[in-house]
Parts: sequence; C-alpha cells; structure tokens
Amino acid sequence: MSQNEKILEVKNLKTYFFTNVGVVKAVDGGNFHLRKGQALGIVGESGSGKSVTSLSILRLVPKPAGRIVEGEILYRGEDLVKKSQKEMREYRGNKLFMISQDPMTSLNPVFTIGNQIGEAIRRRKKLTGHDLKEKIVEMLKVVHIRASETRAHAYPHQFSGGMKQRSMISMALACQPEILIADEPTTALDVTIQAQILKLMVEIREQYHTSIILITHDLGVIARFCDYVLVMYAGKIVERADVKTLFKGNRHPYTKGLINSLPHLGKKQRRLESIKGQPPDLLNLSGGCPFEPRCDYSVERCSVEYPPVESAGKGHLLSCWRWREI
Amino acid sequence: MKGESILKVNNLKKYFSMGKEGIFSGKARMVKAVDGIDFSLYKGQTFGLVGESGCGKTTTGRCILKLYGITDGEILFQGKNIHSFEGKERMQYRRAVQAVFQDPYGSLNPRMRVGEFIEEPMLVHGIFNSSDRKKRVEELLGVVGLSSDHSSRYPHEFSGGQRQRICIARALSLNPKLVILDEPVSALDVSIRAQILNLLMDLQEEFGLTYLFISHDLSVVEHISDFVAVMYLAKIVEMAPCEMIFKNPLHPYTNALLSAILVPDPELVQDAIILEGDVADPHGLEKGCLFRNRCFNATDECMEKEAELIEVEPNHKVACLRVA
Repeated sequence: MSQNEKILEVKNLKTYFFTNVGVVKAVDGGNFHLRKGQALGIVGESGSGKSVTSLSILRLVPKPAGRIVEGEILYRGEDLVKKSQKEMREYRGNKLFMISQDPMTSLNPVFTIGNQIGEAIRRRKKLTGHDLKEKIVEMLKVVHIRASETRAHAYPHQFSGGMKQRSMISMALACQPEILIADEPTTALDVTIQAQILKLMVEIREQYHTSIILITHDLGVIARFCDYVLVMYAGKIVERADVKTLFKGNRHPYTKGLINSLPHLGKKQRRLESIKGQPPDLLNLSGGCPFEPRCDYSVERCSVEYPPVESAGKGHLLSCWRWREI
Repeated sequence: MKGESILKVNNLKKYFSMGKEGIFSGKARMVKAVDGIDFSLYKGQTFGLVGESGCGKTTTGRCILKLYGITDGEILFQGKNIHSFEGKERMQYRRAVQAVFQDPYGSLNPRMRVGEFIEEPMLVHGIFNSSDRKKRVEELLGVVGLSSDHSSRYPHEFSGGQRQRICIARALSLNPKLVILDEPVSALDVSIRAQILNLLMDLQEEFGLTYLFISHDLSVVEHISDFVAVMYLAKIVEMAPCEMIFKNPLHPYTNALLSAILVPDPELVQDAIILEGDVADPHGLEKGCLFRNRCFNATDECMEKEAELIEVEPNHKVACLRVA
C-alpha cells in the first residue's frame, strides 16, 4: 500500500434534488480525489453543495427528493454509487465515518455515551463485559475527557457541545475508518473549544494516518488544517489547489473575493472588500458561470457558457474564462 | 478616545433563579449571568463585548434594552437611570435604543410584508402620518442597500444578508442613538459578512450612531470596535481600547482567545495556547478566580483571592492577580 495511493475518487458526481418548484442541482459535476493520509478541505457558502457532496459519498442523500443522477464514487476502485443500502452499511462507520456539525443530532439521547461508544467498538472487536468497559474508558481518555469512568455513564444532554464532539471523535477512533468526513465539526463550538477539537483531529491524523475530508466555511480552519482545498460555488467546484496556492496564488475571482473579504488581525483597514450581490438562487441558474452576476471580471461570454476546467499549474485546476488575466 | 458618554453601566448584576436549593431550603439557587460589570458607551463609537457562549454578553445587551429587569446596579442613559423612566420618558428611551439580533430568519415575522415590518415601530410610536411613513420606509430601504419595490415582498423571498439589511432598516426607523448589535453577522456567509460590516460602519458615520457590538468573533470585533471588553463567566476580565487589547493583551484568557483565532494564512506558524476543559460551571467556584481551573498561569493565590479589575495602564483594565 503506497503512501500516495488514491483511496477515494469522485468522478463527475451529479446530485440533484427534485422539488415541487424545480430541480436543484446541488452538486453538478464534482471531480476530485483523496489520497491516503491527506486532509482535503471543501470550502463554500451555504447552499454551495459541500454538505451534499459528503452525503453523496456516504450515500445518505435525503430521499425521495435527492438523487445521485450521474457519476462514480470510487472507494479503492469500488463504485459506491452502485452499492445497495445494505452493502453501504458495511462501509459506513468501518471505512467512512462522518462527524456532523451538531453532535446532538448524531448521538442518541436515550443511550449513555459509554453505550454508544461501546456499540462502535463492537463493530470491530468482539469485546464484552469488563473488557468492553475498559476499552470505552480508554477511548474517552484518548479524547481527553476527564473522569472518564463516571462520564461513560452520562447521557448526551449532560455533556457540553465540545465534549459531545469529542465523544463523536472517540467513536470514530474506535471504528478506525480510512476516511473521516467532518462536516463543519467546529462551527457550533466556542473558539477555545474549536482549538481543542482541531488539535485532536491533527493528533488522529498523525497517529492513525486517516484521510480527512473537512467541510467548512471558515478559511482559518482550512489554512491550519488542510493540504488540498476545493472551493465550491453553486454546486460546482470552481477552484482546486493545494493550500498555499489557494491563499497566495489563487486565480478564481470568487476565491479571491472570499479571501479578501476577511478582516485581518493587526491590520486595521477602514473598509472590507466585499463580494457584491447575493448568493445565487439554485432554482434559476443560467447556463453560464453562476458567479457571473457577482463577478468584477465578467464578460459577455460568462453569462452564456460555463468555463471548462483548466490547469493553472501542478495540481491547480479552475474554471474561469478569464483566469489568465487575473 | 473619549467623547460624550451616552450610556453608563454601573455594577450591573443580573441573576436568574433556578428554583430552590432543596425541598426544605428557603434559599434560591441563582445563576449569575452578569455579576457586577461597569462600562461606558461614548457617542459615535463602537464598544465591542467579546466572550464565549454563556459568559453573559447577550444578557448585558438585553438588560440595556430593558428586555430583562436587573438584580442590582444601575444603567444610566444620558445621566438618568433607565429604570426610573415612566410614561413618555420610557417611550423615548425605547426609541433611542434599538437592536439587531443574530438570526435574521427568526427576527422577521413571516406573515408581514417587509414594508409593514419596517413601518411598525413608527406606527407604535405614532410618528409621521401614513404617507410620510411610506416615504420613510422607501428611504430606509435605500439606506440599507435594498430597492423600494422590495417593500411589498415577504421575508422568505430574501437571502440571509438581505434579511439582516431589513432588520437594520427597522432598527434605524426611529432614528436611534444607540444600537445593540447582538452577533449581527454570525449567521451570515463569509462573502455577505463583509457587506454587512461595511454597511454598519457607513451608517455609523452617516447618522452618528453608537454601537454596542456583541460577538464571539474577535477578528470581526477588532475590525469594527473602538473599545473592547472581554467577558468570562459573568465578569469583565479585560477592557481596553481596541488596538491596545490586540497588541498587548494581558489577561491569560484574552491571550488564549487571541491565539485561538485561526489566521487564514497557511504559512504562518501559530503557537496556540490551548485551554483545557470547558467553561467551568460557576457552582463551587465561589472563592478565588473563576478562570483558575483553565488558566496556564494560576497559582495558589488564585484559589483564594479574586482579582479586581484594575487599571494597569491608562484606559487598560485587567482582572488578574498575576498581571497586577
């Protein structure tokens, strides 16, 4: 098993939602891959399709409105799109593990934390009774939960947000998945707790060599944590680059706008550069580039034709008609 | 730095009752949401109030808005205690102090047209006649960057950023002096956040507004504020002009908060101070410093003695034994 092997490859993924008022193209032609031990970031605003991408990988797109209409999701060469839900159950938890934004919705309120972690442990190891209890306490210690013997008997509502998120991570560790998908794992948490959770995720990555897909809208988290980044806008991946290129050598006007609109610590500026206009309405997209109405660089062609994916350097791909001039 | 003081908070305390301690105990169990804070707001300036969830920053804002009664202390608006206001004076105070809240989805009535929503405060306070009010609504929509034909639409037709603009227009409808901004950009997307912050700063300049800006996001607070107070467990632990607090933070909690900000620059190596544990349950921490169990600098003295907020350099106040 080589270090740089691609363990996940997504090809031309299209996940649409068929609603009463029209078809929402939540993910429209996603192409990317994830290598062993890599941390891939997906940035985008609400409605850009980043969460739907992760749900598609797990085959958990809300039914009946949502459907994967096209594309392949290859996990070690096997196409997950073709699997039945029964077969998928073997992948979820064991191979792919998801941590969601709100840990309260992922934990069952009527079982104790220890019970739920125990369930995750039993998926991999046949442990019972005392051995299982010991393992549960050990898992809680790994994620730095103090007084873990008594805490194992607590219910989710007795845990703070940060502790719940840490219990989720300990479950992930118990399952030892190859790919950890973290969907906004720190958005609902306070800044000091966010720092703890990110540190824990870095530890896991180093120790277990887990590949991580981190979905967030926070560019600070991306800069600290990820190797490679996808920027999504209205269901399309508009720019793909390694993290340094993304911050220093980005070429897509949307990426540029996002990075420039952040307030910089220590450098007090009078006004922030903002992206004009409003997020796109996914029901009424034109055939052209969805960013065109908000873009400072747009030309006539942008509103009619979607730009092809072009390479602007090693591993740096983007879709924009005018990237050479930017 | 200083100008005319518009609002002064003296030793403000707000406790919430959580029922009795035991069945036979007459003593009520109290949650101290705000426990003795002092600060002043100056005309035309922005006062940033930062802290984590549960530190009492929102409660402070709500006390100033008179949405909550207070347990102790006083709030003086232009020299007068706001709780002594009756009748006409009370209406005037309500007019002078307005608020914009975090969730623009929750603060708009889904059955009201946007025009009606912005007009409502003027109707309540009985200012202008019908046609003047309509004119004022159109003017306000223009001020916040929406067009006048938006007034006949319903909230669901707008995006998050536009809804926040509508809330701002409503807050401005009565020509307030002070606006309480409670996490006004936290629920918005990054690209929209900058638009709203710019709008707020423009409006402040145009109408000479005073802001109390409540947020957990230090980088946003640094951008907009003139003066910053950091709260931890119902108390102010550090207070200083904005530049001073960011260049020379003295309280260990402020230091930890600042180092927890993730700078969007992959090449920068940050030595983060990572605090252990969660915000403490204030029960059982009656004596000594409330931050001591998470503090990397705590000594035995911190267990015993609580630090007072002391001025260590002009305008810069810190509550820490190890600093003073």
